[in-house]
Amino acid sequence: MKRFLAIGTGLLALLFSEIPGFPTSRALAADRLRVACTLPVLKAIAGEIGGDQVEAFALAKGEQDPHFVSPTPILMSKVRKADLLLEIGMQLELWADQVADGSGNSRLFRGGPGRVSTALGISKLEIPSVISRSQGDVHPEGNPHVWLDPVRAKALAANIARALSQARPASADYFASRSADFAMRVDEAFYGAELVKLAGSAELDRHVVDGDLYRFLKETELNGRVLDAAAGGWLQRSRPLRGFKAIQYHKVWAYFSQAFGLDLVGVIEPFPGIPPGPQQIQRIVDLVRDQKVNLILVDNFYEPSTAQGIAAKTAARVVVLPSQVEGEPGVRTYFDLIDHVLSKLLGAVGA
Amino acid sequence: MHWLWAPLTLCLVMTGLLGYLGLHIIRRKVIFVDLALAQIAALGTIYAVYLGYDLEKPEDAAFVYAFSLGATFLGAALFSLARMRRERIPQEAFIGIVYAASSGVAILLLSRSTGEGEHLKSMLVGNILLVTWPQVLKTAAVYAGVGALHWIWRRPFFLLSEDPQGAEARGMRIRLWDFVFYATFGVVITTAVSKAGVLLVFCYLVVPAVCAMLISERLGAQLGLAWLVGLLCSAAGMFLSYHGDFPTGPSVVAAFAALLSTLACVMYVIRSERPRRSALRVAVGAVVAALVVAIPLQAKKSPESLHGAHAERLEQALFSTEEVTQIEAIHHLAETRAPGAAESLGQLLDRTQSDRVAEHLAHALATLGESSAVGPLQRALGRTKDDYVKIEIAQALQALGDDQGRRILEEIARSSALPLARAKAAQALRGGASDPPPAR
Ligand SMILES: [Zn+2]
Repeated sequence: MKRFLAIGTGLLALLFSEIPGFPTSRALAADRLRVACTLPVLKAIAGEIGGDQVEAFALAKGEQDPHFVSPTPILMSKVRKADLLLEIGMQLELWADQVADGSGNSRLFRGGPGRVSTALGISKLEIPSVISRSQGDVHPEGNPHVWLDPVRAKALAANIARALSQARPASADYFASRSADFAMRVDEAFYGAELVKLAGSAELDRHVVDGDLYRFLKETELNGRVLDAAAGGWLQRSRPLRGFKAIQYHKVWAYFSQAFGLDLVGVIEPFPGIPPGPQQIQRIVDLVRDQKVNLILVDNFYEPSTAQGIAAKTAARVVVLPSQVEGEPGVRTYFDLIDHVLSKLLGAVGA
Repeated sequence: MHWLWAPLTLCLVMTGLLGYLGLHIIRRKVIFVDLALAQIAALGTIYAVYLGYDLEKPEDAAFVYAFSLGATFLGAALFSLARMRRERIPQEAFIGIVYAASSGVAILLLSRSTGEGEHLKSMLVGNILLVTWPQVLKTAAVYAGVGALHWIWRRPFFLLSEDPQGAEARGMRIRLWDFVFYATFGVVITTAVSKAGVLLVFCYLVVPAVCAMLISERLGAQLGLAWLVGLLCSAAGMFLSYHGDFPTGPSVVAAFAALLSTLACVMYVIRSERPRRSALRVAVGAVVAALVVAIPLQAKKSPESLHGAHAERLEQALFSTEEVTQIEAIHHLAETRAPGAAESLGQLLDRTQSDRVAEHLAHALATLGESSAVGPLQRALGRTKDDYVKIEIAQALQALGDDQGRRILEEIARSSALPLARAKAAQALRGGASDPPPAR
């Protein structure tokens, strides 16, 4: 009987939740922080940090090209009442400016107090060099696809926690503890508990960011046992991928490859949106043949035909990957995303 | 180089049928009908995508193709109905409206389906460089079929294009014949557009026909000339694309434009009653055009100089907001032993929040070996909580002759929570080589 009552009340609440003024979950939601995120991956991380204090939603869809999203009126109305607008920054989501401006919510304009560039202070790749001034033409502030490295994802989470605490100082402790918990879960998922206990995640993180994690793991001995033997989690799972040569369509996979030891040797598109010319394709085909490249990584929002054309001329295989949370069905959390990408890659190399 | 043969062959196949159809299109004064039909076909495909069918899945391909073909026939029916008896509104206006409307609806549908914009782009852009032999052969087969129909019905089709009133007076059912014409035309266009893109298909359709009509008025000669123009421009465009490493489609388009403008000038001079004066005019025009392009070239910006102000730039880099940039500068300043480097690095150590930067700094300061660094190192030691960073700083202090380094190492070797940190500190105490953080 009690069960029936509970279900009945639940149904009633559901029915009335659409009626304005009825004090249900909607009224409770009103005192949550409304956090608009440009990308679903930021929404996923903001949800991990914010818990029940935050209502996070994403503007781009998971399978959409994060560089180009049409700023529609719906997106603008979505951020009109938002407290925060989280973006990666680094000129990845240039469309976010149009959405914010169109919403009329001046707190979220570029430079406003509610606008958060989550990649701030994260160690980046492909920053134009002070010495040679090379590179940097594609993404002038460095490669913005930082979220595919678990270490940098922790840094994103820390930045998000700081932003949430500033927006709601009363819950600062709550956000800090959830952020620490998220970092711990990422550490265990990535390195495995034993390796973290032996070496500490801070040191491991620095080696990932320096790009020499695998040399460090192989060359460091502790009590007569090489450190690599203690690796668990994604590090252990991704072992067959280490040193595998790959090329990518767009520079989305730079951070992922650094973290998981894939050897990225080339990029197909010369500039975003410009199809490669015949010599560029010939160069890539030669590169794939000479270096015995096995994999061509293409994000699922790009047209795979160019990559397939190259694969048809060589022995390489095309792997179409989601680079976002919600990029494919079933990929709901950050952990799902890395798990899913690893499974696809391992399947492609036949491990 | 051998893989350019497939695209080149496709260009020749397209020349064969599009060059011929262009003669019809220009006679009918419906220059942009190909753009409109291609857009309608794309709309059909997008509708299928909207319904959840996947272009990439082989089992859905037939369904998607059927939608695209159905939409094309619908478009053909529209255009055959739109032919007005007394042309109050030009047919081009109607074609433009159909183009705009189908583009708009396509964007609306795309905003509700996944992978926004990408499907539309791939359908209307195409990359001729990557066509495969099976695709070329399939296109050739379709074109041979349509070509045969046009050979069998060449008389009614040309009568309809050249003199529709006369055709109607003779009792031809022009709506039906128009429908057949546009339907076959639509099939030809959509097959070509998916491989070569709208831009290139438009050029193949219009430029050879226009060139041929500039030179001759006889139909047979026009057809031969159109094929010749298409052939020349395909080859020239491929050559330009390969040797300049330009995208192939736009290169062929540029070749068409160059040939057409040259031919127009030549015909103008030849047909002129006073050829010398005309030639002079053309020459003056060419010089003016060249100047208009060349003069702004003088104002082209040169890339920023890489030399000079090297050390100064490095010092500035220490104030960058990017860790990577700071670390790069730290390594270079330590390597080059620039004057004042130890001081700037010490100041950075005092203000940095990052353990990673501190680790690199400690190593660099140890290399420089200047005792002025002891102060900043001691202060950094008090701030950090990370045992590995402490080890690095302690080693730097040791190298600079400060005794505190040894004490810190002993403490870490004894009581750190991390086994690896204990081992590292012990190794450092035994005088083992430290593990330098890698340069970028
Ligand atoms: Zn990008």
